[in-house]
Amino acid sequence: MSIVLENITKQWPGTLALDGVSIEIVEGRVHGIVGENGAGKTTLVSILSGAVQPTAGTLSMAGQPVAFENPAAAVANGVSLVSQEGSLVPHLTGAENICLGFEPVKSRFFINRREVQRQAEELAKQWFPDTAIALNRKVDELPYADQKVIEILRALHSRPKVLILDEPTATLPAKEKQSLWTLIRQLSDAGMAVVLISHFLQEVIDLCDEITVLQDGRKVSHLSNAGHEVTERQLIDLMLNRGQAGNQHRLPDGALTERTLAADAEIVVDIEGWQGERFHMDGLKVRSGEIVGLIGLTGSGHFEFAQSLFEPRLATAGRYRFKSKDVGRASVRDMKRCGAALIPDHRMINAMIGDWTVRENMSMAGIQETSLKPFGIVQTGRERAETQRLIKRLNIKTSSAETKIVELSGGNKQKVSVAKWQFASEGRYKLFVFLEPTEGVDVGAKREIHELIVSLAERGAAVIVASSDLLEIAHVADRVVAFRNGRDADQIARRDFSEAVFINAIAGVTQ
Amino acid sequence: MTMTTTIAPEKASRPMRIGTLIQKYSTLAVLIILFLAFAVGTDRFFTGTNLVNILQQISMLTIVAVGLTFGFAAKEMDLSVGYVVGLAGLLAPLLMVAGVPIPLSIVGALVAGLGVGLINSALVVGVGVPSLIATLAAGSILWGINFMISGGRAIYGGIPADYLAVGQGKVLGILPYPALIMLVIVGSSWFVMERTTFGRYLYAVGGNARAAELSGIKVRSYRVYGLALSSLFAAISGIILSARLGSGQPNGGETYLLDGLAAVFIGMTMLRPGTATVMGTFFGALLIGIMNNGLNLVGMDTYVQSIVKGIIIVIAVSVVSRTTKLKLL
Repeated sequence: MSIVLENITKQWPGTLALDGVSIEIVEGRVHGIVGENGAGKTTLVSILSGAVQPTAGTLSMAGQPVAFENPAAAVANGVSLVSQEGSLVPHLTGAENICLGFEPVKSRFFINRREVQRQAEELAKQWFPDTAIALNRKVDELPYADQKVIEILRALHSRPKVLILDEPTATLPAKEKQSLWTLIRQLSDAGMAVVLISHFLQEVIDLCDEITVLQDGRKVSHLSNAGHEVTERQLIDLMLNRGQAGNQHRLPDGALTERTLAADAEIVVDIEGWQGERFHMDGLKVRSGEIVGLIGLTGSGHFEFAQSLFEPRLATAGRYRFKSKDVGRASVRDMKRCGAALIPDHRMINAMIGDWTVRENMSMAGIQETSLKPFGIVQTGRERAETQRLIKRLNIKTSSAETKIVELSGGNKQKVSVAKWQFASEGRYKLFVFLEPTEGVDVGAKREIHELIVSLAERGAAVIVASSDLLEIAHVADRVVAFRNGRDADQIARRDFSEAVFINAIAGVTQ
Repeated sequence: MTMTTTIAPEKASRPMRIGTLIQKYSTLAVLIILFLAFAVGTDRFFTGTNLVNILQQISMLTIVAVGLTFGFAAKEMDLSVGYVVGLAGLLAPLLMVAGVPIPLSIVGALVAGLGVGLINSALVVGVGVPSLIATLAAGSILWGINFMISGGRAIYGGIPADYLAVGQGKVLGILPYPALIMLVIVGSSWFVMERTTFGRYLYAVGGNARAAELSGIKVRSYRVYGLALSSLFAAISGIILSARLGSGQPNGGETYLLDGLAAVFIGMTMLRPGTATVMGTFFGALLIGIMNNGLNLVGMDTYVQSIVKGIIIVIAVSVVSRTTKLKLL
């Protein structure tokens, strides 16, 4: 049985997560869905599994329209989700987890343990006859791959027709992925309709019979992959190339004006052999006044690297000199004192206090500057005046400085996040690290934030921008470092900027 | 900043604003209603002596509750405060009976209280034990210690009269010292929490520890400060308690934990809903004090008072939980 999504649209406040997406998922086939962060994969999975209702569009199964009001309704209709985050109870056995919530009972009250074990084994034998999994052991004692298999079996317990696997191999060590791939193939061979969400593109190509590519909430392509003829390069092109998606904000190919840097500009960041658990940077020097863009696919290490410039403790080896001083494994506080600032991604989690006002959030990192020493008595008047100044200067749209931060739009929140590092400390910070600077920001504010980034550099700061938006990088950066598989792989000068060059660098195609 | 207030334009979200208004002031309304009801209902309530009496009665509770507020601000809950009250209330008399001068005895008791706070924070911040559990265990240990050092008996006889004056004397013959100490502590704590960077950082750590850390705030230190102040204030309260009773009681402070938490919770419904504030806590303690005092005057049994108090706590916390994400662990 197949499930058909027609013109599915999902409007969140301020963002269009899905824009008229149509997909057909067919039994006996593995359907891959790929796209960068924010492309709409998560929303799509949520709609398929009943966690979220579409704003417009229809779902139908076997020709009949269906509506999944909640996850239970989706399961009842035969759609099961294996979510990315582990959903197992660690102290129960594999069999107990598989039957969780549907335990066979005896004497009406007691769980029939033998029957639990038997049902689980039967299910395992039905789907994966050649694979031995210790169903009688506690799941937290099992290898990750086996835990994933148990999660899949648990989803199969409700006898679904469609199985959604959301990033099934993301948490697995490389060695264990192979065995899971075999099992996924077995599922579809046995007639299951499988939806595979993954950002490991080679995995998608090897496993899937067809692939849908999403970009900015739109379906940009549907590829048949029966002979595994799709290439990684082809997918990356479709995922990242906004020119092809009819986006008017196209990156002008070639011949970009270069900003001239003073020849004697101070070297702010000097990195050598800097590495952490998920990134490795051979060498990088960033001068005062320069903007370096970091690009790469999700998980390729550029975000982790950027973060480590503000949190050096994330690195395990290598040398990092900040303004010619070795920082070693300095704390965030030390880095701030030397003059480094971070404008993190996921701003409500990493940068803001939701209960607080615009003023309180803005002064969080600099309030000591406007306070009376030595006891740190807050001078309310000065604090307010400085907040007002920054609201005006960064054109932050808020009804007042005393408005709660959560009431602001994404772009204005982001401006507050930047303003935090200018609160009574204009010119003090010599390094600004931006992670996804315009995540969840509308077009107008996006341009203003780009101007803000450039103006920071023009006033003498070194700026590092890690973003999955290539156009953004092309607009602001003086040069680009591309990451592949956790390492810095390519350097691109501004005069060579073009979408093709960026995508080549990300995909690892040499010219 | 003095500026002429301009009337804000009508906003679409007006009904919600009325909702938050009701929520912000409902506790205050309950306080006023209780006050008026007792004033009208009994003739012994609204008299100068009784009102001073209420201040005196709530002073130790308020000090403990203000201490708890520091912990709450940093999202740490201290369940050992009741036994710290007991410990300090035993140690000071014990030291004095042993011949230690009054100031040194008081300092000794305060240091002991602070020490408990530091041990608590070593467990919470250093080892990573949730504060609820670490301080619960600490409370159990302290209860045992309190009985051990006192031999299970009250300490009295040989306590200098100057010490007793701390709990029993009055300024100008009107305001009892405990009430004065309480007012000074409430005032200075309010100033520290609302008007210094210390208070701002403490609230930042409780509001979003990750954001605070990435803003360069010493998150671990502020969690320590929160727990240390909470114990220190409990010790101050214990000293006043023993001076007022004229003796050290091995189980002297036990009621202050629950009543202190109640005061903080009630306070969290007002001013900045969901956040523990010094003034909110003070009003919470005042509410509990007025209720106890008034119900006493009406002649209601203590066990009924306990039931009424429990119901009020449930209502207060329900009001907060419905509108904010009240997370304590």
